[in-house]
Amino acid sequence: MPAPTRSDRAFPGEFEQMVLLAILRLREDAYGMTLRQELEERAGRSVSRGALYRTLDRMAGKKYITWSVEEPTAERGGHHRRRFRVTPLGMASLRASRGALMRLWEGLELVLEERA
Amino acid sequence: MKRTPPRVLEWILARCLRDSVGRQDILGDLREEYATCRRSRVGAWGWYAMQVVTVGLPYLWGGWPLRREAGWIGDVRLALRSLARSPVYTAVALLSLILGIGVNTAAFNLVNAVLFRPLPYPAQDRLFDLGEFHPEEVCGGCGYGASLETYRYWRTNITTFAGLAASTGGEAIIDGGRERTRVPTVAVTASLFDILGAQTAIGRLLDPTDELPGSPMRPVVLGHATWRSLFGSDSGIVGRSVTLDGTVHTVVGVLSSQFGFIGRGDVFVPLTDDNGGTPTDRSLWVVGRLKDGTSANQAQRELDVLSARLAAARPDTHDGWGGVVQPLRDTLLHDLGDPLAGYMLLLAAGAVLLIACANLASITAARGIERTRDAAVRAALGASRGRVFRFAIAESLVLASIGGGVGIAIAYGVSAIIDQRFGAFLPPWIQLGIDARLLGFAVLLTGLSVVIAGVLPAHLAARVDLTLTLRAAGPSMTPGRHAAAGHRLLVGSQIAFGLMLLATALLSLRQYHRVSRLDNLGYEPRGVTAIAVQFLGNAASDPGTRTNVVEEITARVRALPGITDVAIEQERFLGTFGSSASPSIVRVGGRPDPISNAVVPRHGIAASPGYFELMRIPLLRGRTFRPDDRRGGPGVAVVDERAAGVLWPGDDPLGKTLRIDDELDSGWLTIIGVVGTTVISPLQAGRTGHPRIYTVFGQSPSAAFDVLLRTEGNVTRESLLRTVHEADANLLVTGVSTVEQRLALWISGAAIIAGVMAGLAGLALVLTAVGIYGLLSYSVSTHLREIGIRLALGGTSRAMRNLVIRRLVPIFALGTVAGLGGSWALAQLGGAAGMRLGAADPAILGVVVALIATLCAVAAARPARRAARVDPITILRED
Repeated sequence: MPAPTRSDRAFPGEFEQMVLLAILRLREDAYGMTLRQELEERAGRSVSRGALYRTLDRMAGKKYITWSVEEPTAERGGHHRRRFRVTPLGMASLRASRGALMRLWEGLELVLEERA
Repeated sequence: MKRTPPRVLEWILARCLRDSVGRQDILGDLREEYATCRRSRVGAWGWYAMQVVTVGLPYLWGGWPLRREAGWIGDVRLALRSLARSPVYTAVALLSLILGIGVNTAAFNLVNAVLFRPLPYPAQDRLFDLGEFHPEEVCGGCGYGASLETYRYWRTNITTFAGLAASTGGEAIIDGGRERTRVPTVAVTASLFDILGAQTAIGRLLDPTDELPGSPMRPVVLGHATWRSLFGSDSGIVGRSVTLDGTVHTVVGVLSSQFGFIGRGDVFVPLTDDNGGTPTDRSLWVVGRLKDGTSANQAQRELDVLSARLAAARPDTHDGWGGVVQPLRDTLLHDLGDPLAGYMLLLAAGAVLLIACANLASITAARGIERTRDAAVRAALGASRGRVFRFAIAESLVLASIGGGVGIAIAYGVSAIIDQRFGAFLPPWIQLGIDARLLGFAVLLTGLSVVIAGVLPAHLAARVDLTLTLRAAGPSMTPGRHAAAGHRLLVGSQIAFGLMLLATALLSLRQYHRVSRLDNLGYEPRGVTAIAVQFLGNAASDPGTRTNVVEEITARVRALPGITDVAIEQERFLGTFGSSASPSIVRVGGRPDPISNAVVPRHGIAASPGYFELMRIPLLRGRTFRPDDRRGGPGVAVVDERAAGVLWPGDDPLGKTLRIDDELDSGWLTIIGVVGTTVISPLQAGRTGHPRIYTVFGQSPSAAFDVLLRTEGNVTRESLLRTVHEADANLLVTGVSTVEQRLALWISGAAIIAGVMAGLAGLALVLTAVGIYGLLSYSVSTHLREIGIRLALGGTSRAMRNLVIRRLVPIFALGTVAGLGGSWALAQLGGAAGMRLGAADPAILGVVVALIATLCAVAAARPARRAARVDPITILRED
């Protein structure tokens, strides 16, 4: 894997990475509510809605994710629902981040185990 | 049925999210979650409210999560944490600020409502008051009005005004509501409602046709308050009949609750020839709206021309009379008293704020110097001077913002209480409440507090010398010379302001005491009971019947056991605001050059025989009224010294004649006696008083009158009421009270001033004591090393105590001198405001200085004792 160049965008933050991964895991079922449940179940941390929605908006701004709008339903009081997808740029940033972390991890397994 | 979120909360959330991209998504998600939420109804509400806060507010503020720790927000967060760690400091600081800002905002709320707020009428700056005036008027600004004739002449001919309106106040017994009662009424022209922009809640306003002489129906428009209290807000009131003084009227409309009339009165009838008064009765209140593009000067010039023309056409009634135009606002404010009183209240409240801020600055500075090391460490780690300064000021900002918020809440609470308890006494056009000006004032105060209490300590913190501070240890760390001088100056100014407030408070208390003694009024109000009575129906119109009934009442009341004196006076005169303030023309008889237009205020009152004896008004010459001064006999009058001097300067009034042109028209009257001058208001005690002319009640009895009596032992209210009704069952008793109770209205004003001033002074003294204590304690803490060395070198404990006290002496001296100067200035201002507190009395000032000295001694006692008990060995070992 090629090393990321300086022209690449900055790595996504920790919470952003988690959200991107959750979207990928949920595939076609990535909505606000399900994302929050996924993050709470998988990552084991409670997620405030405020933080989640703002993060989603911010990542859309960075072009990491995109969404399609579904028809409004009565259950939602006539409000539509957004289904999220990770964009190729989002995928690239995830890969870059993972690559960087892997390289940093290399050779440290023993040290960490000893400390533990 | 599925649960849906509370609409209000959803609406708030939607407002917070505005048009953000995720708005629909978030609202929809929360709806779905709410529907499946297993909490109780209340729990679900709480949950949704929490979402509004955690999801909505960050959108509103536009930054989530708040990561800008390095900016102002970070500083504020740090300040909050740091304040939470020092609860005592925070509590003292907050209390000082809340009191300071709260007291000021509340005071400003009152002053704002009266002095600064525009009147609640459309284009209020174009509303003007028009009145007639006569250069020989002797009552000197006792109020002027216009006659109906003059008003109509102006209305027809004036071109500078877009509209003119007139009104005149009165009282009437209203019947047809929940109870029969006496209410203030106003006769108005239909144009008045138009000029003041009145709207109805139901029905219609008055119409110009209602004023025509042959108008078949007698319409009445009710004010909102009367409609609510007397008619239970009955929506079917329009078209119903009510009687006013026995005459049937038809209710045509109810005014909207927003409308506040410029004068007294909440029941409006059309102004007609019947109630508009005689050509010489100049009691109409004329108000006009100036045309766009014309000035008050132009209007005045036109009025001068019109007055001259009218005087030429009607010399008998209008010779010498001119017209005056003045802004309506000025008239309304003039009636309330001098605006200086309001500014004085603001000044006093401002002094409390300054003391509170000085306190806060002292304790913040003390804390700041304690934390100098903290600032030094920050500076050493590379923080710029600005950064250290900003952090230091953030705390004051947080404190002052909380103080400002609570201050506004206090102001709101106070205005609600005033509205509820005193609303009925306030003129209807005064509207208390929070407006942009009040909020601006509170923000300004908050900012000022930050500057006073925060900037100085912050400035000191930012100027910290790294090496010195980091090297210094606790007990030897002394503040710089500037900081110490600043601190002393703050405490000195606290003493000065405290002294000023205390002096003003004591002067107000003395004034209250003087006023409440009810001395020097020219009569003896104590022990006099007054029964206010009114004739109803046919008896009201026949003077003969009235005289007989009144004599009957007098005889019956006199026969009651325990009654020593009985007399009658014209309606509700004593202890009220006098009768109408409109002037009457007095014609003096037998003079070669009669001053036919000399005017005295209608302080002439009708009284029965025995009146002067009962009121203990001294007879100076001649005689008082006798039972044989009856209706049908020769007309007689008694004048007071002042009237004698005005009407017959340098001459003996006995045997002279005069005539009063008013509605009681009693013909030519011969002066039979001169009595002492009286003043009605206790606030005027000892002053000259108005000229008064007393006529015989029985010769021209009015429809409403007071039965005055002095008693020995218990006479019950019931027995009095029964006796009056035995004389005539149709009489209406509108009140039984002592004259002292009536006078209490004036005294209550002085009591309120004294109470407010005493409260403010008490607050100021406590704050000052805390300030002095803080200064000295702090001074002892920072000079422990010096004290230790002095003690080690042979200084005595007594000397150390004196050392502390000596520090206070120059501060006390400076504060006292400044305070005395300030008190003198305040007393001048108060005197100018008509509060007559007595220019700074040396005795009072002596007491004040003694009190402040005691306060200083009490506050200094503990720090001085601490200095005396310092153990030099412990201190020097620490060094």
